[in-house]
Amino acid sequence: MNKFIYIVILLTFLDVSNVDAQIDIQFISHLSKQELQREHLTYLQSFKESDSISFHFAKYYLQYPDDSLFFQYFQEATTHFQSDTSTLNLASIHFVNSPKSKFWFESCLKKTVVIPGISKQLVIVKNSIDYPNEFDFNLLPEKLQVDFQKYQKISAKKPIVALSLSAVIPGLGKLYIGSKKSFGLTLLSMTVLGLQSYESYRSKGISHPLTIINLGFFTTYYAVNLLGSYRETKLKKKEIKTQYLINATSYYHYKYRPSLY
Amino acid sequence: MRLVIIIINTVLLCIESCYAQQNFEKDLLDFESSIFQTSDNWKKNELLVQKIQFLAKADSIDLKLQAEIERVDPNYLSDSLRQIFTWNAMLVSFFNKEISLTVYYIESFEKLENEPSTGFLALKYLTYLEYDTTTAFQLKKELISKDTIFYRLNCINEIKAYEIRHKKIKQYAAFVPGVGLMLNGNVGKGFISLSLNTATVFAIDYLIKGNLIINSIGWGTNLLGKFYIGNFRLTQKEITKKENGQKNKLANSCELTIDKIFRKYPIEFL
Amino acid sequence: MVQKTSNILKILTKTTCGLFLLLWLNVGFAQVENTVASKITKTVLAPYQTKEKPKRKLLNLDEAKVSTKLNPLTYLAAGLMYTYQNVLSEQISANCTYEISCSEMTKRSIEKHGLIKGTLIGLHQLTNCSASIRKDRCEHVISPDNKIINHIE
Repeated sequence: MNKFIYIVILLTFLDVSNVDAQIDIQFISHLSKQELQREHLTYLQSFKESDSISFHFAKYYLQYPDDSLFFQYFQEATTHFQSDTSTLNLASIHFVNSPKSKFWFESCLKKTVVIPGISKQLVIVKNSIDYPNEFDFNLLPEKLQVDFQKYQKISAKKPIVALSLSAVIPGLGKLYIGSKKSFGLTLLSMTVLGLQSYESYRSKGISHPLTIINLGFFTTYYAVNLLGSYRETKLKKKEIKTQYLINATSYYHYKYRPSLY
Repeated sequence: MRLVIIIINTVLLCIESCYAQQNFEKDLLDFESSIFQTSDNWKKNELLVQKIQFLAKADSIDLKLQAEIERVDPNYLSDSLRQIFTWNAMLVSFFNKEISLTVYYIESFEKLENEPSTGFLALKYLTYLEYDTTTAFQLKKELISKDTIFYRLNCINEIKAYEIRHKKIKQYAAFVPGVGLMLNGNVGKGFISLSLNTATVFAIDYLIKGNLIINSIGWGTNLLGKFYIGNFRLTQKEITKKENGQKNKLANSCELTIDKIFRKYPIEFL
Repeated sequence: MVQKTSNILKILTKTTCGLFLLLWLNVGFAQVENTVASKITKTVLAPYQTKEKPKRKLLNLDEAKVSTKLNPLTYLAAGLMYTYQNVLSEQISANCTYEISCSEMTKRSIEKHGLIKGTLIGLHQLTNCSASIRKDRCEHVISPDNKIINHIE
């Protein structure tokens, strides 16, 4: 009797899921549109593993981003993605500005039979990033051309040139990459520190503590200005590239508004 | 047999917490499934109200629940359901600190209920304290006429109104750097500030006397500017910190009062 | 032997049954504690129950290179940074333009890159710490509270 009671209790705790039920696409679409994340996940988890469930899981992880899980389910359900151009486009928009961009465009997207229109355009955007100098900006939509030209301009700048220019005139390397305010600040600070050092040297001599402090500041500032110009060139390249990709993402997103369901 | 009991009990202990969560998620999905399947707007909204009740009672009060509230169309609710919905929506908005929404639901609830409870009036008072102090003042009078325990709600006003009289402290800080801090009780910080400012003034004086004009301008603007303005800002910061500390103490003692009031006049999700 | 085992089993049965009961009681008590009344109290008083910011910590060299750990100047820099962050910084009411402040950047860069490179990276940020610098930066690196978003490289 006792055994029987415990078995009954145990069974009540076991999950009796609708493993063989059919997926209700309209219901998933409803959950997705209402952004009911918890219900969406519970619904997907109630089904047995299959290609079709992986397809919906991939879409779920595109809506509530988890790139590695998206890729995992995408690989399992590539065939289901062949005809779903809207999701492919959404994924392209999502991955164009992501560290996984290369993997998506060069590996995943190519597995599909036909690359949809917006994704093709995003491949062009990606090419413009990879080969900025050979790229014809007229291939891009008008709204992205200015951003691309900014990126094209900065990608031609060399950190070592910025460093050399800053060695000649403090801050000039920053002007070379277009950071006008930073150039002004560096030049002004260096001039003041230089004048202070010169003044204290003339009236107090080289071994006076004030001259040593002034010269110490001057030398450190100069060294930092050199390193700064070098680093800032690299940093600015990344920054302008990211801004270009962010603008591209929002442009395609708002112009075409692809949806998951 | 005993061994079997031990094993089963242990297994149950382990899976109990896990399955409780799973059942909750499953119930939530069942609600949504029913909402989706019904085409009748009255039924749909009734189910939405039930889902909100379910989430609120399960203590899942967040902005997602607020979004669920926005899905409800009160025009498709019966009077009793509308009352339940409005009440719960009011509480959820209150906990989510959505003041204007709380006020909206309070006003809606008043239209549905002719004789609202004292607990409701107390909650209304707490809401209006942040929204319209004149109405809050009237409400407090009304509450006190019902029960003198509401006198104790003054503790919130005391916290809100608490302010150190710092006009003089600031004046001292402007004339002699560091003194304001000392008067505020931060003797160490005040002493450091006074020392830094004095040392800088002497250094600049030394530079001027040595005819080092560029140095005096350069160091003067950099150091004295930073230390003098810094002292002023630090004094303000320390006054605020002291005020916050005092408010914290007052809040801790007020906590018991409010708790007591709402235990005497309880409010629950419907 | 059989008697002993039986006794142990008896105790174990009682213990697990007791634990099971406790679990249910615990759920009950948790619900009592978490009433609407206590929630109202927390909501109303939360803005006034602020916690003080903890003091900024000393340089953490756990993951630094051996050369950095052995360099006595690293410890001098650590002491100076600690003094600056906890004493001097408030005296000048430092309001950094960057999300990770200049001193914090220096500290963390020293932890990661060693004394020389770390100090230079920190100083580079310091020499660029001015409100006007924001105009040189792209909009995606400016946070909603108008600070420049920076990262430890």
